[in-house]
Amino acid sequence: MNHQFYEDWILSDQKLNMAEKKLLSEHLDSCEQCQNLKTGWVKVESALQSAKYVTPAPGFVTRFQTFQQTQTAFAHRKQAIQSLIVTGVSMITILVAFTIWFFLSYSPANIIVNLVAIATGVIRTATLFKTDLVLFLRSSSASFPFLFIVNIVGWAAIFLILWLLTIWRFTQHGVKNNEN
Amino acid sequence: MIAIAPELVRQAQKGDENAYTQIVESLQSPVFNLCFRMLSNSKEAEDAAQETFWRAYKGLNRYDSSRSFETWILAIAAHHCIDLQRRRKLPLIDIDTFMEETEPDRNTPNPESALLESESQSQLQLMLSSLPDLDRATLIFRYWYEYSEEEISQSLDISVSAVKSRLHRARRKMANVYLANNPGDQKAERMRNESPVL
Repeated sequence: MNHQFYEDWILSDQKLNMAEKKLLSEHLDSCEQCQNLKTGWVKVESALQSAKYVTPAPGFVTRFQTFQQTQTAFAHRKQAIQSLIVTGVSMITILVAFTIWFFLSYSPANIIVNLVAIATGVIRTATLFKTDLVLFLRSSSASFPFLFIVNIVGWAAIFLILWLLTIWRFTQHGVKNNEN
Repeated sequence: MIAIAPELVRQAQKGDENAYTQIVESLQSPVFNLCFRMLSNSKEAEDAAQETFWRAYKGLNRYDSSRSFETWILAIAAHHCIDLQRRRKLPLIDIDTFMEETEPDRNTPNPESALLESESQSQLQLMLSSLPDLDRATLIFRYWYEYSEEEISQSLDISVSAVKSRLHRARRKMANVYLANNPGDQKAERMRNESPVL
């Protein structure tokens, strides 16, 4: 006998019409297997329908807030470490790549000659710059050196504040905020 | 189930922690209940519920406001519980803990009926734990949260036909487990239907 048809009716959510109910009833009278299934399902469905919500122990929200703070601190620390690692690895990679390219492109003798040339060039440029600067400042108005120093110090202060703000933001909010 | 006001969700999305705390307060029971029904252990259910709220908090910006917020968070809980169970693959129920937790209060007016209810509930939890993870989640959504087949399909990322077949399979399995645990019921039912001549 094909029980599938009747099983579907027994286990279905949908209401049966009168004809279907009659057919099912007739089948149940003669089929012990389906009758058992119906008995079992009626009991289980009744238990399911009377089942209540299980609630958490009191103080769940407070416990979640503590959990949230711990997880947030952990996530921020993780993001900061990841950022430092990415920056460090990038810088080392660039440095290594540049060094390899440099040693492959020039012979050691060339490198020494060039280094000496660069060093003397830097010293000569710095001396010239210093001389030019002194001449320029002497030829300009009396307040100019003061304004020049204020300008330099001002920009330095802006960059210092930006740097400190960035460090503060990293420690307080992590590198990324509210993101996975 | 409690509906969360869209305005509260928007405030939480803007970073208002008080708004998110209100959401947690409103949804703690539905989320914990789902986790408990899935995991059958109150300690694990507590951890899973907290992890669910944390994941939802981190993913608030990805929440699609065209969907119900409760459905979204319950879907996170269900997927998390399914993942946990796939990872552990250990027995699902700690029946001693469950019996302790569902022990009726002896001071209630009718302790006997409370005891019977508790036994029936622990038996129900045992039957639930006999189901495969997805079948169990399907049945929990259907009976505790009264979700339609379409809503279950969206929450669990499976097709509507898969929901139907999983519900059918879960119901049959639950009925069979019930009968296996209560052979007396089978007999009684048969006797009731037998001809008086026999």
